[in-house]
Amino acid sequence: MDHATLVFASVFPVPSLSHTTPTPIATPNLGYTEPGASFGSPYAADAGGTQRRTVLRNLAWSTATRFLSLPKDLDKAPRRIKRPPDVEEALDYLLVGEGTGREHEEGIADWYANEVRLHFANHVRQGLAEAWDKDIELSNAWHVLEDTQRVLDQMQNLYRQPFYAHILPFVEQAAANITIRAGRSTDNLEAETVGAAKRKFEREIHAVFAHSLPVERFSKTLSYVLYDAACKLFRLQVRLDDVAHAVPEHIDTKKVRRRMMVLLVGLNRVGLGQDEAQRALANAMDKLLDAYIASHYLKVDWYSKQSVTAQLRVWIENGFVPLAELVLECLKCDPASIPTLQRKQWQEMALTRLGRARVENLFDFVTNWDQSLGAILDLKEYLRLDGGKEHLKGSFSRQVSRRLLHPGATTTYILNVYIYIIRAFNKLEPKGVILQSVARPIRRYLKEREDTARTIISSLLIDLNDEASVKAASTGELSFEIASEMAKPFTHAEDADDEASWNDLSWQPPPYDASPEYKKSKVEDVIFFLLTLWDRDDFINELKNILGDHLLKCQDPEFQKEIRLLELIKIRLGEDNLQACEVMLRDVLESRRINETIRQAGDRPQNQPPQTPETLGPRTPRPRRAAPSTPPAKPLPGPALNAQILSSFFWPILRDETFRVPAEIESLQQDYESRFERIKGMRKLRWMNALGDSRITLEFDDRTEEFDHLTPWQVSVVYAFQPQPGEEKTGKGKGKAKSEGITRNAEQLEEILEMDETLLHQALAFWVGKSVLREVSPHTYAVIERLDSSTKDSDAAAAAQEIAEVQAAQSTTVKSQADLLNERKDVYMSFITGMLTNQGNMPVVRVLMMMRMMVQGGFPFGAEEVRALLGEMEAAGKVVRLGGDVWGIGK
Amino acid sequence: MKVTIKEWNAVAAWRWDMPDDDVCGICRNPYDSTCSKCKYPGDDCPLLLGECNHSFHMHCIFSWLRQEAAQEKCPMCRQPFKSKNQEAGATEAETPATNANTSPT
Repeated sequence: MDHATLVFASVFPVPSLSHTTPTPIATPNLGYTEPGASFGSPYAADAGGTQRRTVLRNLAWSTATRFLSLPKDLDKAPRRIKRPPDVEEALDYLLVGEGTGREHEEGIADWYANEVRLHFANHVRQGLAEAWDKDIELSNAWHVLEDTQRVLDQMQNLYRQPFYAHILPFVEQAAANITIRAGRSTDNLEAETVGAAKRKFEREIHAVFAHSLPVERFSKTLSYVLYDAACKLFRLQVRLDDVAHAVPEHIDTKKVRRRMMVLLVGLNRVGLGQDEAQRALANAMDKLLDAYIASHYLKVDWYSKQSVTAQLRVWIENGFVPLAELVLECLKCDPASIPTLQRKQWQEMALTRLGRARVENLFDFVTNWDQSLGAILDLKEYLRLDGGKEHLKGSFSRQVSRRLLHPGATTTYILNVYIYIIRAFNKLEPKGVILQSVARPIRRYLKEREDTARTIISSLLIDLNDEASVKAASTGELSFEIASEMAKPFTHAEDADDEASWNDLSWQPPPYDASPEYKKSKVEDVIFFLLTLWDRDDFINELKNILGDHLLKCQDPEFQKEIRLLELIKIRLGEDNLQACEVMLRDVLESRRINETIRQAGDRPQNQPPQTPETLGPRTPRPRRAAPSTPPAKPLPGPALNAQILSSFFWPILRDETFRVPAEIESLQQDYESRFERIKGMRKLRWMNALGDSRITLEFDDRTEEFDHLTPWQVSVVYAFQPQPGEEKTGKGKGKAKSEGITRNAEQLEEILEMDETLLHQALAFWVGKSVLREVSPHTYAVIERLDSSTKDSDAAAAAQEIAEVQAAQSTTVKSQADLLNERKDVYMSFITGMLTNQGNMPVVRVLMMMRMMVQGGFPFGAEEVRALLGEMEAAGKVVRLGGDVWGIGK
Repeated sequence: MKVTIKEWNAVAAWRWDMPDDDVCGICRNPYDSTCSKCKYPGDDCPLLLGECNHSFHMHCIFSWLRQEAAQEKCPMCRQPFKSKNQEAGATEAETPATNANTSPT
């Protein structure tokens, strides 16, 4: 019988197919006589010889198999050590004598193996199947395995016993006979033959055992058991199915170890320690590695900020490898210890996994920079491994784009994170190659944000010692990180060009994975990264606008921070093109001096009219200082006029709504102007009344209030509520309600002040908010001379205050691009109409080019704006779109 | 209600008393800007108005006059250039002009 059939038979017991049941004693078939031969002699000649052997063999077979056949309850059946003589004879005949199996004949050993298989299938397998047919619960895994092992072990012993006792001796004898006959007395051969028979039998049994268990399930169970044992040995907290299995505090690791070893050795004994077990081991070790990396042993070191990789290496060397060795030894698969190469591979594997685990949360580590130094250091070793860098870059970029670069993140937050990224990656890889590649999307995104430059520059101007600005930073408008970077002492290393430094003996080529535009930057210089976000010119333009705005609002008379900022930018970006900024700075500094000069000039040569401010002390404290702490000795007869004189050419385009300022101011301004022109020949002054600020006192019937930092238009509006010379009497006489003073409506005010409507309403809202005015009827306002505690007023005031605040937040001193476009829209539109009429249809790009070249004063916008203009004109029916980007004049 | 203005911080822009959008005929920069060498406009880089009513940045016209080929003539109208502006730089205008005359011997 071939092996395949045997295997088949062991699984599908079909006795008739493969197995002879012990034959009952029956009349042996003696064959038949040939025609013509004499009848009846069992010992007849040649043919009779074969026949005789068949008969004898059948008899012996019958005897032997009956003796060897296994009873149902094998373990309870008495052990038969002694063989009855007939069996002895039969076995001798079958194994040693003539009856040894020839070709196509079944040997008794094979038969016994088959018998075992059958017995196992019929009687034992059932019991095992009960345990193994359904999923095995984890908590039960140990027991199931151990029980199985025990049962199999027992069965193996029982099966073996008859084989060893009754078959092997004859095999031995047969082998001895052969050797004697061959004349060679080699014990080896004899032992070999016996060993082969033994091994064959064992293999048969083991195959039966192995096939009786579901392979997959067995492997998984064993894998779990190994994993569980390892976890207990290393005291790892095991988490499965999200249920925390609390590991009892006092695990006797020795006990666990012994239990595991017993089980493994036992499994190996019953033949289950082969491929499947090794695979299970591999699985278990794999899981163990993950579990260890996720365990508390390797959590990020937030306190001492150290790397844990060393610890991991030690564990691999002293914990992991010995365990693997132990298990392999129990399984007796390879007595040689694990080669160093494999140890190294394990270490790398562990580091890779640790790295991956860290990379997964890298964004969180970066945002918690400084405390997370340990995690970053852990990654350092990971980067050296194959594929580490790529994985880190890819994964981190994904995290950044998902978690950072979305409209929900404030610019300040993005900037802060960017700074953390710079710092963290600098630690991670000082050459900055990775930083460059992960920062690229962030930089691109930041560039698109409108308020980036404003945030950066304003943050650079924060005074860390100033409580107010620190407060502003904490509210998230400004980046505290940038400010603290700014406060760091700047070491300006004069780096020569890398390529050209022939004398630099420590020169190194750029890293192999650097991109072409890689420049060995001073990575640690965060400010440098921020200032190079834009093209230099774009940045300086932005700087110009922001600085202009800032200087006009600035409270510090010395402008120290601004000077410092400018110096800093000069150092980092070079001095070209910064002229405008320097001029602006100088303007504000000079203005102070000019103010004084003019005041003195006014003092001496003329007898001034009393409203001029020469009566002030020669050094009036400039109101821009936080507060004029020392009040002038003499009470002021009139307002003090200070001016900031700007070189208009160098300033960004400032807002210049025109309106009439209060008369006394106007005369002061005229006076100032004439003196200025006398000092500075050939120069004219133009007042920009939309800018500046003012301090006033309001005296009501029942109260006096002081206001600081008002805009000129606010003052002008409230000033207009004073009784005019002509209407003084009517105003007072009209006072039917005592709490109300002079009433004016919006049109009147517009007329008096020649003020823009929106500006006027802004100012009115402001005063209503301050409970100075009250809207008595739509667009008509009255002064609240007496403040009663009516809720109506306070409600209205609160509402108006809100409006005023929103509006104030929107107003800056510098005109935005959009304002500019709106303002000049008509010019542009008529230009476009003319051009399209004269030159025919043209695409947007061409329109843009022509406008850049031809429009008076330049056209500082791009194709987008042109398109928007054209769209607007299309809506008005002036132009038509002729497909694609081509536009023409509508017929 | 009575409004008392305590302080008034105004902002003003200065310009040269020249027609708008006009540029210095030499450096082609607006008058309100500086000549190409200067950094700060205004006092540091004044204008000079000639008797021919052509005006330039002072530094520009000086360096022009210093050249021999210029022959002390206004680059615009080729009339001898004399400063009209007495207080700004008439005297100064003389010195470099004479220097320019004497030096190239």
